[in-house]
Amino acid sequence: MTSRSEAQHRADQVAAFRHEVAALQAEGVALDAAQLEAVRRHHDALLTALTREHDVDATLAARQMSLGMRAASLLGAAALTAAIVSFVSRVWSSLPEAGQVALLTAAPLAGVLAMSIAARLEKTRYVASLFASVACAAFVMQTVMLGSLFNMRSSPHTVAAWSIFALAVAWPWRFWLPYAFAVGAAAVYVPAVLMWALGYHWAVVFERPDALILPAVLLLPLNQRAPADLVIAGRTTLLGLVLIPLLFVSSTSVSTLLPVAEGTARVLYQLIAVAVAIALIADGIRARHEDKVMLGSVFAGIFILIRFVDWWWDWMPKYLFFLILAALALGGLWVLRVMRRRVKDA
Amino acid sequence: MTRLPSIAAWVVPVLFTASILILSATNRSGAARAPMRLSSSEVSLYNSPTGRAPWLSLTWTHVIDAPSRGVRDLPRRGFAVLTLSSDSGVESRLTVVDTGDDADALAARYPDGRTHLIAAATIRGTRVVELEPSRIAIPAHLAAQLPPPAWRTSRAPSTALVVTVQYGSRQEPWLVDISHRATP
Repeated sequence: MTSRSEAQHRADQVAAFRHEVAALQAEGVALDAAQLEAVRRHHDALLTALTREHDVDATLAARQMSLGMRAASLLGAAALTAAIVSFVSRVWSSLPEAGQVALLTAAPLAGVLAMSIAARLEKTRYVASLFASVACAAFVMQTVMLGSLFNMRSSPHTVAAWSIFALAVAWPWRFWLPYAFAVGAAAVYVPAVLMWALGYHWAVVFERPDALILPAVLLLPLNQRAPADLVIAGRTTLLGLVLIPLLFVSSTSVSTLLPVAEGTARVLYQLIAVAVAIALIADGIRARHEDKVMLGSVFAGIFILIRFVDWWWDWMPKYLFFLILAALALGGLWVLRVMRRRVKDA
Repeated sequence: MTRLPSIAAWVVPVLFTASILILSATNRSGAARAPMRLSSSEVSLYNSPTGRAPWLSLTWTHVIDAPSRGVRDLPRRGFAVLTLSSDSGVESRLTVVDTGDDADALAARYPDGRTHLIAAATIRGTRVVELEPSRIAIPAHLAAQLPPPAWRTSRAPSTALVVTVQYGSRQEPWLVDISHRATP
């Protein structure tokens, strides 16, 4: 088993099997005791090995605690980052220039060192992941503040540096948050450097968000080659960089890169949004990627709601508007129920 | 299996700092233009009492329009030439008099840095919308010359300031001096 996610999936199968055996015995089904004992001993050894190598959650209680630890790790990273930024802002003016440069360079290195030590001492690696995220934030702070200190012109290559550093921090122990940041930064860097090379300000990719869509789509196959523990984080980030700009350009008057009138561009992107939502949900069902189905469904829901508000809100009585929404939701439930029955019968 | 952070995690921060220092040194030691003296009317100061680094930005007016590229108003990179006009009726005497894509060509056309300042700029349509960088850091040894810290930008302190700004070979600025000029 090469990844923690595969190991956790195997542990979940064992837990589900044990629950089912207990339920069958409670219902009076006769099961061979010798075989059950052999399976139990095998599963105990398997769980011991999986816990030792990958620190899996063997029980539901352990899984719930892990979720809590992940949330605490995320909050801790945010709080520690805010503390570091506040401290640096406070002491900044009292430091000589050499001290300022040294402090900014040392901050991400200290984060990497703390991450390395924590990863060796603590098997769950939640503290290490916290320091990994802080190291990434410290590096962003280093790049921004050094640029301000020396009055440098802004450059898209800074974003590439963010991506490389975050990837270097995320890779050894498969930390998903720095990896998601690395992938997002890479997806922004590609169109940014292209615009910069064409003579435009690189930040135009945020002013014309459709510039982010195609590079994110092109990076999706590359993300599939990442370690199994990181693929979902990268895929979610890239799909977010496709869907959020698509939602903006199809629903608001934000400018686009297309050389057509604003209204024409908006209609075109609405058609693309419909196609993307259907394709994403269908592909997610085919490939059994729950994250794709979830993202596609949420995107489709928000998109349809915005369309309905755009078409009907101003002139339709509000009670009728919400009644139609409820009827459509019930209709959608009925269609999905019919489709599920067909899948079960097939 | 013992894992180690990638070598890049240690090297990238150090490399980044080294590259910034090298670029900054190149900017200042290359073919730097002569410094320009500006009054407090041409700059906006920010000096927070909470210890954050003070900075200033240049304020300017337009005389000419940059040639339009007609490309859907996308902000493009270029260079702007600014000079101090003799018109005392305007808020800022610093005025955009030329724009272009080639800094060397502009430097050849306007060789005297004391009268003409060449800065990297963001141009939208026909107008210069921002100089790059938009802020110039005030070194600690010059910050002592500033008016008392204030929360908001100060355009016209009671004691007039003379700010000397210099642009280097990479069109990146630095502050040479800040001094006081007593108002009559």
